[in-house]
Amino acid sequence: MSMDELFNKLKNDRLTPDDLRRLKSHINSSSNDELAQYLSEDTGDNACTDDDMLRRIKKRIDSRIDTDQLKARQIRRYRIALTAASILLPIFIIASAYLYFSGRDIPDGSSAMCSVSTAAGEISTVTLPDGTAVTLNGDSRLEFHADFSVKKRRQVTFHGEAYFDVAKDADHPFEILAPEMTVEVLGTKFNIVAGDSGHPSSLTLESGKVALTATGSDEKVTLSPGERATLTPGSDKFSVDTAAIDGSTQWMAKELIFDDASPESIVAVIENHYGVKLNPAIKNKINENFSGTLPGGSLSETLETLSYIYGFDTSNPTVE
Amino acid sequence: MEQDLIKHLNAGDRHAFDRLYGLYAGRIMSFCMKYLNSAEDAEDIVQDVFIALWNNRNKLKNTTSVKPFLYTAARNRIINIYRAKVNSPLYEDYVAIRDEHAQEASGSSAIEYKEFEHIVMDCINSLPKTQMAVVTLSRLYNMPVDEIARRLQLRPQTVKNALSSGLKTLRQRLLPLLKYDSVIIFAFLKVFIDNIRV
Repeated sequence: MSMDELFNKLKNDRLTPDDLRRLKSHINSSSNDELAQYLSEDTGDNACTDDDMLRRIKKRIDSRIDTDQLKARQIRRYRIALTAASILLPIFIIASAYLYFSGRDIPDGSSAMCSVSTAAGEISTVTLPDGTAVTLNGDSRLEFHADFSVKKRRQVTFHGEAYFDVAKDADHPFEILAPEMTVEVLGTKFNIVAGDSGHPSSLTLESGKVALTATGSDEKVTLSPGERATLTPGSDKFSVDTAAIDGSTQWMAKELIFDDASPESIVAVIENHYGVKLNPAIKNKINENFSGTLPGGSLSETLETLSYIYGFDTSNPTVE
Repeated sequence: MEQDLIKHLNAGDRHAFDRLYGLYAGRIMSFCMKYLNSAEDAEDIVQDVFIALWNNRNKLKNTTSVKPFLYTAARNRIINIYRAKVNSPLYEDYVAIRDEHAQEASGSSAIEYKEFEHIVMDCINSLPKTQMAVVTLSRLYNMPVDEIARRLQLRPQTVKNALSSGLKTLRQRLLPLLKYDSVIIFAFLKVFIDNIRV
């Protein structure tokens, strides 16, 4: 059986397990250029196409071009694709659908449960009905009732990492329920890392005042600006030290700035900023110091820019 | 003539872009349908390829035709779809099951892979996050419990609990779908849920 026949069977889902094995090994050991020979164009390509469908597609193209020109951030799509087992990270990004409320206000008055989640490497800002602004780092989740300012009970459930800028309302304390601790807030700004059991939780206060309670032991601590409370797994007590808020909110920077940075530090900054491990194939290509500014909004943006300089392939950016 | 359109395109002329779309969209669409069975995938490719054309409008100076650009872009995307498919553990299961039940599942009554994939992935993706991750790793990637525990940083007992809750939910969700194609779905249930390897 020829390769052409196998490709045809692939198209029609008529492969036998042996066929699949042969085809898979051929495809995996060939480059796109080598495989291109099986996909030949001929002058017969045309005619039987549906004008309505083409018009529909054109509309989508036009609106996408228009939105790209209006907004800096792109709209992501839900896509189902399973790739080779060695790449673990895409399972979480690709195989799940999340709601995005980027920078929009949530309408008040409804009694629905709102939840906002971010995928790894993604940053998103939400404005709550009371005016509180929450910027979520990757892999985080925030939940609240949409009518929470009407009911005057400002309570959210949260896990992950985020920067909260809580609207002042001395009569109604803002409460954050995280897996390992509860935070009570009276108009303030702070960065919180709220991990699940087994991971440390911490809160770094920029301004205002917060009271934290550990869920396990009911231990309480009150923080002043410039202080950071950390709850290490296993211990039920908070430890308090001073910490500059700037250090803990580096992740919010939309740009990564490098001043004659060594390849090692370039890689470290990117891996820390996005919480990923870069593919060694990419790391090997970053072989010179770099001075300049990279976009820090998404991993693909950063890598695409970097790939123009170092010439690496961005199709498999991360490894487990 | 096309060269003029390209000159205008270089300058950011949307009308020139529209004309080029009119010239080539149908051809690209047919080309994709020749190699993919899915109109959904073909539409996505046509869309992507023309958006790429727009985004690269400045880089196509001194070209006589956008045909090579469009066909190459489409070809690469089709090949990527092939790569993903042949490397997909779920596709491997589907092929094995279909082969084993070749007699019973003959002809048009057999469920197409695309539909099968949608059904299964929708079910898995609607599970709570931890269960979804555990079920995917265990059943699609054949990963043992302790390795899952290590990767997801969970205790082994948590992994076992998530796996049994997740599979129970999946079974409940997939069983009613037997009406679509009892042979394939049922065999899949046996393999996937009960993990009796084909």
